[in-house]
Amino acid sequence: MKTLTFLARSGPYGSSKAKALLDMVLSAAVFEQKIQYIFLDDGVYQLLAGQDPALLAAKNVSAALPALELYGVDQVYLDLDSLQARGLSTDQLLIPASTCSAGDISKMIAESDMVFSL
Amino acid sequence: MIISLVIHGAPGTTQGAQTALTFCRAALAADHRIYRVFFYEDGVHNANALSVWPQDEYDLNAAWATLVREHELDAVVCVASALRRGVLNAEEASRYEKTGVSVDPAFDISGLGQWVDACLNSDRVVSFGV
Amino acid sequence: MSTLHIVNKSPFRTDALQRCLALVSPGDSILLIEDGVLAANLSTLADSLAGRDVNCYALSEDLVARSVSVADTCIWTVDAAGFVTLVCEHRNSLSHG
Repeated sequence: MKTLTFLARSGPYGSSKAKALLDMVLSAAVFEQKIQYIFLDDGVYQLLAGQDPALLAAKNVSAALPALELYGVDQVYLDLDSLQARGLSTDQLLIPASTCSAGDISKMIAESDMVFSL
Repeated sequence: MIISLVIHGAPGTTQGAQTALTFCRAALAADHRIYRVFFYEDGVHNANALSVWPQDEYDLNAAWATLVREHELDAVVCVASALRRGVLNAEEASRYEKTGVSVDPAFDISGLGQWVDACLNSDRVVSFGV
Repeated sequence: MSTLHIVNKSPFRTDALQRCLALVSPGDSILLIEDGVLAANLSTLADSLAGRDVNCYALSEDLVARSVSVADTCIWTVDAAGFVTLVCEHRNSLSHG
């Protein structure tokens, strides 16, 4: 089993990056790898509850988040500094995520076989 | 070492696909094994055989196809990314009733499972064009 | 065990380099490629690397193409073959988007 770390750093809808990384995470989960899914920078916006992109003719990127646990993706982290820098708080989020710091993320990267950032 | 590449960028739009090609050549020259080159998102445009480049410009599409053939590389285009961008083989064109085939036959069209497989079977995976 | 951080964006356009600097650990390396090499002639980069046990490299093909020179002796230049060597010498690589 390999440890794959995913850094979700882009907001939803402005580009396909959020969806592209989520698809990688779900594919890796099917192969039962150890996955660390970390939301930081603008990626924290992906976790906000209440997203409604219907007027953009876009799919709701956050809709798949509650299913992550079913896929075996149980290590979901959130960079607290990124959240606070954007004036957000954890009670606005759709799913529970463990808060972490840049130092924690550095440690997780160091323990990974492969790292992907979008 | 066993190395795989993931390419996110389209040729001519960002530099990533060219950087990846140069890296791939250098890795092969140093006798490393390229397990797979996986083209994802806009990276699938590198596999479009219908691209026509001006004669005084470097044809990156042709360069990739040539490198893949010369070294018999396993070059895989993500199917979900490819279909959206009109990069189709005969099978997909027929399935979705499209009139043209655009992917260079040097490339296979397959799913993200091939990317996971590359992660499992490579010592290093390097992403380009993110 | 360490990470090769690859930065391909201009420090004047995105904060990719700053975010990279926030995540590097001692023993890691940073490789500037593509528009990322525009940071290579900044003395501020050398300042932020001082005393951190982080090696910094810039891809020579990209420096030459852009006529950018390396400001400080703490930034090493590598060619494509050196890029491959760096990938092999580190446990993993992280391409900062």
